[in-house]
Amino acid sequence: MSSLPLFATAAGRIQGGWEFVWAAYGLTWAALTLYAASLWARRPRKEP
Amino acid sequence: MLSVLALLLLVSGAWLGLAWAPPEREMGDVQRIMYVHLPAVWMGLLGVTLNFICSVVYLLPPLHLGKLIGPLRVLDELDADALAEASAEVGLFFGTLGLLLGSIWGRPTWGVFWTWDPRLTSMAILLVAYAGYLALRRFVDDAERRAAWSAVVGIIIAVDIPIIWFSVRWWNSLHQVQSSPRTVDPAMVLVLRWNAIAFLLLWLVFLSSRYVIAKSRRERELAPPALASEGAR
Amino acid sequence: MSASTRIPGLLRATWLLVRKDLLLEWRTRARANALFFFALATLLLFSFALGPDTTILRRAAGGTLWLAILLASVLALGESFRVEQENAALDGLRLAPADPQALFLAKALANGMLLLLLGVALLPVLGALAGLTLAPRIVMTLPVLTFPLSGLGAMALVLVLGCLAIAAPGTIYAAIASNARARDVLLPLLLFPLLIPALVAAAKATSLALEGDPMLQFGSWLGLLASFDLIYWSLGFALFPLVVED
Repeated sequence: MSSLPLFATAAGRIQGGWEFVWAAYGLTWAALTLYAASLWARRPRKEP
Repeated sequence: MLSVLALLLLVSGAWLGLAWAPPEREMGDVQRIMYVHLPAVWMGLLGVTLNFICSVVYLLPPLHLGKLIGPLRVLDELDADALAEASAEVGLFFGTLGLLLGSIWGRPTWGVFWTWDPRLTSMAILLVAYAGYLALRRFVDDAERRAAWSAVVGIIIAVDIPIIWFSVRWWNSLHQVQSSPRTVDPAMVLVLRWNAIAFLLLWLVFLSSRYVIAKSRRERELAPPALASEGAR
Repeated sequence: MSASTRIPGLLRATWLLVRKDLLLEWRTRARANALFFFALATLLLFSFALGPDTTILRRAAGGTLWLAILLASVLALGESFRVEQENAALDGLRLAPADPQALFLAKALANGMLLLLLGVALLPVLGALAGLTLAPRIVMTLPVLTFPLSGLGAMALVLVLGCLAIAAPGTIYAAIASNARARDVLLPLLLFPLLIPALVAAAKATSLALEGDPMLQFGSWLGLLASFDLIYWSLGFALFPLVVED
């Protein structure tokens, strides 16, 4: 568990961690794109 | 669709807003994950709420809101069952995304990918429940029965949500409670709201798209046999 | 029907249906026996999976008991509508004057009783496997009054309330699943997430009844279980007609 007290101030910040931020945003964009693509693929086609 | 464009603008604007560095606090840059995690969770819950409303509406006699106030007529024309299906799927998507993002956020902040925190746990249970709801929809072929049974299950699940919340909170109160970040900085609030609106618009786009898919399938299934075989692919 | 004849009519219809189901169960008691042995096998599996250390088994006893009952309930519930399904008897029942609500009450009660019987049979087995004893005294704290219960009384309460908690939503979901595809998977998939609060409450309360309750939590857990029962029996009563009607 984190060793930070509940009300930590500037001291004791988490350093870096950018890889998690990228992972999070990457996941978000990938997921949104994939879901949008799946909706697009499933769209009803007009009968000729 | 115009909404898609507006969305792309908003979402990219939000992303820039994040690289635009809202000041870090105790959590450092990891805090930024919150700007996608919270809106995703909120959209998941919104989907769940809408599904509950649609389930109830489907089971009630027609409300004919248009007779009360003219403009509400558009609500009368909504297919409650199709909307229930759409909101469940879109809600499940955003909820799952939110849960995964919460897990990613948890690793650097709490040191673990998962804790039995009441919010995470309740969310996880909820997502499994709605996966079951969607499975039910897939495994019932008759359109009328599917709609009625889904509505019943939707209501049952929704009623369980507060019960799950309380029981999990009790269950876990025997152990430690995780601290959650407090957003006080106005810049952070702004970015959060910006992203929330972006997610909301995305949610609306996905919802309407999924609704159209569900509605057209229902129309095909409920159509008179001659028409149905004519139009079948 | 006027209100004065409705409730007695409902109760009578329920009673007749319950009797029918219990008679059926008795005549084919091989099924109930098989259910018991299935649950027994589950208990053994848990014991082997969790290790021979009886300390662990003892601590996990509450959860283990309810998991065994829950897993067996999936089979029991699935079966309870299959009989009707196979003989298309559900249609016959629907056409009969019986209220769908009476049908719900009857099915749910019959299922609940079967599960209760199962729980009662499993408890001594679990006791032997894990070296358990019942707590001597449990204090039950309700909002208005506090009274002592014996460990046995407390355990009985938990068993009854817990089995009722499984029976009500289980009956509705069984009715739905029995008419859907992949019904064997669908029933547990729907039922398990829903029952998590009841499972938590029942398991915790059982542990307290077995090991004692120094912090007086038993009443709270039982309250949660009782609320769950109340909500889902009412909801089931209201919604079941929508499930069986066409």
